[in-house]
Amino acid sequence: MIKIVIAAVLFAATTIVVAQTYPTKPVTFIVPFPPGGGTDISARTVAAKLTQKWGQSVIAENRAGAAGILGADAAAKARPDGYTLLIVNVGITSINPTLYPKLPYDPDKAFAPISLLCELPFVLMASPSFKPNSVKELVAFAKANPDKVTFASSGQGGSPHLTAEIFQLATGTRLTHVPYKGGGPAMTDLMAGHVDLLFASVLEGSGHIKAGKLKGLAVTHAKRSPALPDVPTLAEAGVKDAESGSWIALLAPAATPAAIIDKVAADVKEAVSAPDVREKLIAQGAVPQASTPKELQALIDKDRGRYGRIIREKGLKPE
Amino acid sequence: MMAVAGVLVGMLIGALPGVGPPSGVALLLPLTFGMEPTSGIIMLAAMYAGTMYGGTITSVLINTPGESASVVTCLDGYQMALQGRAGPALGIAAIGSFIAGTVGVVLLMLVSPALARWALSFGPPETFALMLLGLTTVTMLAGEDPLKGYISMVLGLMLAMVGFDIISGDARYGFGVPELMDGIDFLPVAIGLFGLGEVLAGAEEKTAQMKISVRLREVLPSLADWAQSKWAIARGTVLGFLVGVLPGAGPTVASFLSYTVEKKVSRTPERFGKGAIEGVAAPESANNAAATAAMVPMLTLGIPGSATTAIMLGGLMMWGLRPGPLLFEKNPQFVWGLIASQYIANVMLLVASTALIPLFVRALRIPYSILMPLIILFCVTGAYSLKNNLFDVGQMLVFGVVGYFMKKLGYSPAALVLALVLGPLAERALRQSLIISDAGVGIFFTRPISAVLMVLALAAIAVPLAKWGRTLFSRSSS
Repeated sequence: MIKIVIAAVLFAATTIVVAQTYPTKPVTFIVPFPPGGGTDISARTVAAKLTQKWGQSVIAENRAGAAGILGADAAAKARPDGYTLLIVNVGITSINPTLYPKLPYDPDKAFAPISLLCELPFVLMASPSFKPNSVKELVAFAKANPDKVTFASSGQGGSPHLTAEIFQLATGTRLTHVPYKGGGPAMTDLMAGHVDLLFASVLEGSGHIKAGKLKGLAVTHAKRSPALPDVPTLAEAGVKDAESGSWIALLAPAATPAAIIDKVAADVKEAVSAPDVREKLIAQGAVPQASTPKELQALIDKDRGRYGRIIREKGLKPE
Repeated sequence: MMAVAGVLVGMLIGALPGVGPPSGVALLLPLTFGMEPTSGIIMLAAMYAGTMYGGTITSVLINTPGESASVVTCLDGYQMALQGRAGPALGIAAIGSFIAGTVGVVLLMLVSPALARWALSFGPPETFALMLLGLTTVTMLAGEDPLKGYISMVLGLMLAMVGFDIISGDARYGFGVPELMDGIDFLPVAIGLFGLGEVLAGAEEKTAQMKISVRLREVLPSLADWAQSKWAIARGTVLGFLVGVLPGAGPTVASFLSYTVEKKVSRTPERFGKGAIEGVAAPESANNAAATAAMVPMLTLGIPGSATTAIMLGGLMMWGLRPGPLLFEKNPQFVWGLIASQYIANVMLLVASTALIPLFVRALRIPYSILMPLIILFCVTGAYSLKNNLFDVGQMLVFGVVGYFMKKLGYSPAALVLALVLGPLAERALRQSLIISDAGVGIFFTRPISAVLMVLALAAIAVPLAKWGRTLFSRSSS
C-alpha cells in the first residue's frame, strides 16, 4: 500500500516536473491537411510563436488524406508525452465521427482537448447573374422554384456543405448541391455563373465581394466580419439558428499528462493573443480565439450534435 | 541572388521524386517569411521553376518522374538517355522550358484579363469535353497496338474509380482502408510503373552500360535537334498556356495533351516512344507554359489556378496581401515584381541547368549494380515524401510489379497513368454538368466551346474506326 502511495506521489511529482521543464525537445504539430491551406497556415503561425516562447522547434508536419482521418489516426497512435500534438478543424472532431461509421480510432477516447486557436466564419455568396440580392429574396425565390437553385461546395460532407444544409432546414428551402474538389474551383464557377450560391470562408470570399464580382448575402457568424462590415449576419437577415462556420483547435493524444495540457493551453492562449499572431490570423479571415480545454470540449460536442443531426436527417455520406 | 538560390534549391528538391512543386514550394515557404515580400516572392517563383525542372531530370535519367507534370517526359526522355543522349534531352527540356516560360510571362502581362474570361467560360461541361478529348488521344501514347492502349486506359479508369463517390458519397472499392478513401494517388503509381518497373525489367537483362559523353558540346542539343524541336516547343507553349489558364487542368494535363498533339502532327510518329526529341520538347514546354498560365487566375481573379499557386497565394496572405480581383490594383509594384521574378527565374533556370547538365549526366556513369539500388531508394523516398505515408510506398511497390508485367507484355503504362489523371476530373465534371442540366445531355452540345470539344473528341474516336472499317471492307472485297 505504502509502495503504491509512494509510486503515486512520485508519479505526480514527475509529471509536475515534466510540465515545468516541458518542452525539452522539438514538438510536432500533426496537420492532417495539405500544406498551404488555411488550417496549415494558421497552425504554422501559432507554431512559430510557440517556437519563440519555448526555445524549442515546433514543427508542423503535414499528414494529409481521407478528410483528415490519416493525420488524426497518426496522432491517436503517437506516444502521449506532449511532443506530438494534433491540429484539427471542426470536420475532424465534429463531422467525421458521424459521417464515417468506421474510424481507425475511437473519436470519443483518442484525444484530449487543449485549446481553440481561431474561428473561421463563412459567408453566403451569390453569383452576379443570380437574381435575388438578399437572403430574404433568395428564400422567396427558392421557395417558388424548389430544387432549381444550385449551390456549390468544397466537397460532400465538408463544413461548407453542411452549413448549406443547415441553411435549408432553417429556411425551409430545397436547393441542389453541386460538389467540387476544393473551394477554388467552386469559387471560379460561382463567379462565372455556372452555379448560383456558395458558402465559403470569409477569407476566400471577401476579396471578390469587395470587388463586386460576387454578391455577399450573409455571414454565418454571430457577429459581422471586420473584413465585410456591410454584409449582415444570418440572424440580422432573418434566419435564426443557422450560425455555422469552421474553427481550428489543438488536441493531444488522450493519455497526455494533464499538467502538460494545461501548460500548452496557457501558452497557446498567450500566443494567440500576441499582436503579431492576431494580425496574421485576422489576415487569414480568422477570428483569433483561444479557450480552455473544457470550453473546447463543449464546442466539439455542441457542433457534433448539430452536424450529426443534419447528417443523419439528410442521410449524407462522406466524399 | 534570391532567384539563383531559389532555382538551385528548387531543382534539388524537384529532383527528389515525389516532392513535386506543391510540396516543394510549401516546404520552402517558411524560409521566405523572414524576408521582404518582394524578395520572398521572387524566391518562391524561382523555386517553383526549379522544382518543375528538377522533376524532369529524374524522368530522363532514371525513368522516375519527379513530379506529375514530367510523367510523359519519361516516354522519350529515358529512351534518349538509353541511347546516350541524356544531355540533349535535358538540354532541350531546359531550352523549351525557358522559351515557354518567357513567352508565358509576356502573355501573362499582355492578355491576362482576356484569358481570365476564357477561364471563366470553362464550366463543368467544357471541362468534361476537354477531358474526354484527352482520353481519346490515349492511343497516341500507347505504342504499336491500339487495343493494348485501350486496355491500359480502361485499367487506369477502373483504378480511378477507387475512393468515395463524389455525389452520393458511397465508398467504392475502399475495402475499409482509410488510405483508399481519397482514391488512388497517381504519382506513386507513376513512380512504380515507370521507375521501379524499369529497374525490375532491367535486372533481368544484362543491359550494357550506357554510352555517356560529358563533353559540354556533345551534351547540349545540336542544331539538328533544335530544328526538330522548335515547332514542338512553339506548339507546346501555346497549348500549355491555354490549358494552364483553366482551373483544375494544370501542367500535367497540358504535358499529356501536347505530347499527343506532337505525335499526331509528326510526319514520323513511329519515332515517338523510342527517343524522339520532340517528345521531350513539347511536354516540357507545355508544362512550363501551363505553370506560368496558372498565375492568370491567381492574379486577375485571386483564385489559385493550381496546387502550387494556391500555396503561393497562402504566402501572399502571410504578408498581408488580400487575394481577390483587387490584388492587381492595390499592390501593383508587388504584382509586377512577381511577373519580373518569373522572368528572372526562367533565365536563371536556363543558365543553371545548362551548367549542371554534364554533372547530371555523369550520374549515369555509376555502374548498374549501384545505380539500380539507388533508383529503388529514390522511388521509395519519393513515394513516402508525397504525403509522409507508408501506404503510398506499398502502392508504389505493387505498381512496380504491375509495371514490370506491362512492360513485358507490351502494355502502355503511360495510357494507364493518363486515365488515372483524367478519369476523376472527367467524372466530376460529367456529374456536375448533369446535376446542373437536370440530367439533360444537351448541355454538352448547346454551349459553343463544349460542343466544339465534343465534336473533336467524337471525331477522334470515329476516324480510326472508319479507317479500320474501310481496310476491313477493302480486304473482304478484294
